[in-house]
Amino acid sequence: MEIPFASLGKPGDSVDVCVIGTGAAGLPIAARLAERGHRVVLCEGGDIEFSERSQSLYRGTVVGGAYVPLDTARLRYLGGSTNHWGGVCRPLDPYDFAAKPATAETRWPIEHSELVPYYGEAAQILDVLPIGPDSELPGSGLRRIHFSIGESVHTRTRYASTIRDSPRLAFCSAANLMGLETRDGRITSARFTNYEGGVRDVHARFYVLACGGIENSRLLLWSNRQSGGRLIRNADTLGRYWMDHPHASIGQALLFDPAPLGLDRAYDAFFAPTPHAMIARNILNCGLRLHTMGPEQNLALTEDLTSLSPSLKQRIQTMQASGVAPKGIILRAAWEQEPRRENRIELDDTRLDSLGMPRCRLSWGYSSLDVRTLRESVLMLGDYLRQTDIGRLKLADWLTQEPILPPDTGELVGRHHMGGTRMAASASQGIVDLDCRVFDQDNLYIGGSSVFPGCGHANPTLTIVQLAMRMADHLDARLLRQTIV
Amino acid sequence: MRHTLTRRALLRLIGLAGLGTLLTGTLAMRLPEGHSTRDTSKRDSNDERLVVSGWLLNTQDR
Ligand SMILES: Cc1cc2nc3c(=O)[nH]c(=O)nc-3n(C[C@H](O)[C@H](O)[C@H](O)COP(=O)(O)OP(=O)(O)OC[C@H]3O[C@@H](n4cnc5c(N)ncnc54)[C@H](O)[C@@H]3O)c2cc1C
Repeated sequence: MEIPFASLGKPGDSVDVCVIGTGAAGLPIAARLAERGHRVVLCEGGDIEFSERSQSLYRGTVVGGAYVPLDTARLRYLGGSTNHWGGVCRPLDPYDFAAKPATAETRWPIEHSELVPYYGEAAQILDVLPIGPDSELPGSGLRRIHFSIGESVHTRTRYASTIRDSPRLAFCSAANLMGLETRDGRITSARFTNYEGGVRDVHARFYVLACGGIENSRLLLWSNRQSGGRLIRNADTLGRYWMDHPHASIGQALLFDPAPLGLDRAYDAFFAPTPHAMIARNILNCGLRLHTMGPEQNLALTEDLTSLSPSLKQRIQTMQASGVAPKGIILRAAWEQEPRRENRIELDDTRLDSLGMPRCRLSWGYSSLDVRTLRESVLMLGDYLRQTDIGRLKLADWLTQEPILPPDTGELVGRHHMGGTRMAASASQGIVDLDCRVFDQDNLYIGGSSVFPGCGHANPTLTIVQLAMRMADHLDARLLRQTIV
Repeated sequence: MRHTLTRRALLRLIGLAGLGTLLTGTLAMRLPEGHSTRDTSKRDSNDERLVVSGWLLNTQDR
């Protein structure tokens, strides 16, 4: 049920869980806990519909590499960034949870198997289509992988009836989290403000911060400062190890035989290095995306190749004489970024938003490992094509330069905001524990991809919802235990 | 209102990524033009890759 701002945190209200944010993390957690009989307050900083007054709070600055403006990389109203996500889904690979030889920082303190039980529920929430198993491309170091590319589910639509009808879920929009009060290792209240200067404090047994992969860090940095460092005593990693998935056009290919890549039947095909190849080449994970090109581009690419190679020209002419044309392919990549301390979110004290909170400053850039991961992966595909004589690959110009500088225009990134409040085995290595609970606070949890220690190459939202369902189970169990006691 | 809707549509389309300065990490990843490079991790240790105008070719392609 929807409640007005003035009713938020009314004295005498007994709230089990206060969930902040209504995107892919917040809404599923809130709805699941309400379903299980707990009293939930769900606070959304934005309005029900898009509004400039809310969206403008997402502005910030980026230093370092080319990135997209921070207020276009996410949405701030009911449903959050699920209002414009693409709906592309794939779970992380089991190997994404491991320390990789290239950097041990990719290691999660939980195993992949921890999330497997939540796959079914998460897939149902996001309408994920069946995703086929990976299959190795023999001798290439690559495996063919699959994604679910369906309709993109908006959480506001999926949970519309819960928000409207659930007697145990109180939903309040235009309620902006401004700080968390802490005493003796417990959050005692969360402070909210609306756009008219109203202030309300919500008291709950548990709090879930699910404001997205940038705001989670920003809000914790701000609240920690206000608490004099008592919220997170060891804040060394707070805001750090931030990641996105770099995206780029990486070249083209001409296939004499598209069947081994599965492109005789499909328009798109996807590949990634096998774990063995990642180890052997000392790289991270990388999704190579192959798309069939149009006839004109195909012709131009064929001419380009035949002008360089008389023997291939002859071969292609023979093919064409028997009515078969080589197939042109556009190559793109979205790959795993190295978790590095330098990539980080900070408070920009020189710029305040309209509610008086320092805006976000993101320091972001590529590492040599990021570049090597892409380069090695594309070479694996190119070498496989020419060694098996399936085709030939042409690198994008920027990949033939020295040093390789990824493009500063175009797609750039997936707008997948990960890290900043990473999950770790101890407070010296991260911000949340294995249950996504903030180390120094008994009752504060973080939802969303800000807890990812490493990010694989797969789009993050399916994993976010798996983690959300796991957290709902965990909180449900804690609430039941407390009730019994 | 008009402004808001336009902006929202733009946000949805999002392809309009921002520009900005680019100072990335560096590593000299040479793929020198016209040189052949032995790729030691391949099945065939005699395999040679020739890079011509960005194309990854076999030596016998030329
Ligand atoms: C253009 C685009 C395309 C994408 N495509 C894909 C895709 O195909 N596949 C995929 O897996 N992922 C995709 N993503 C990423 C996906 O949108 C996110 O992973 C997902 O939405 C994150 O969920 P979240 O709940 O953590 O954050 P969000 O969805 O961003 O939700 C955060 C919520 O917190 C609220 N909030 C923020 N600050 C406050 C505050 N101070 N107080 C109260 N509330 C606050 C926001 O209004 C919002 O409701 C895409 C993202 C973009 C931008």
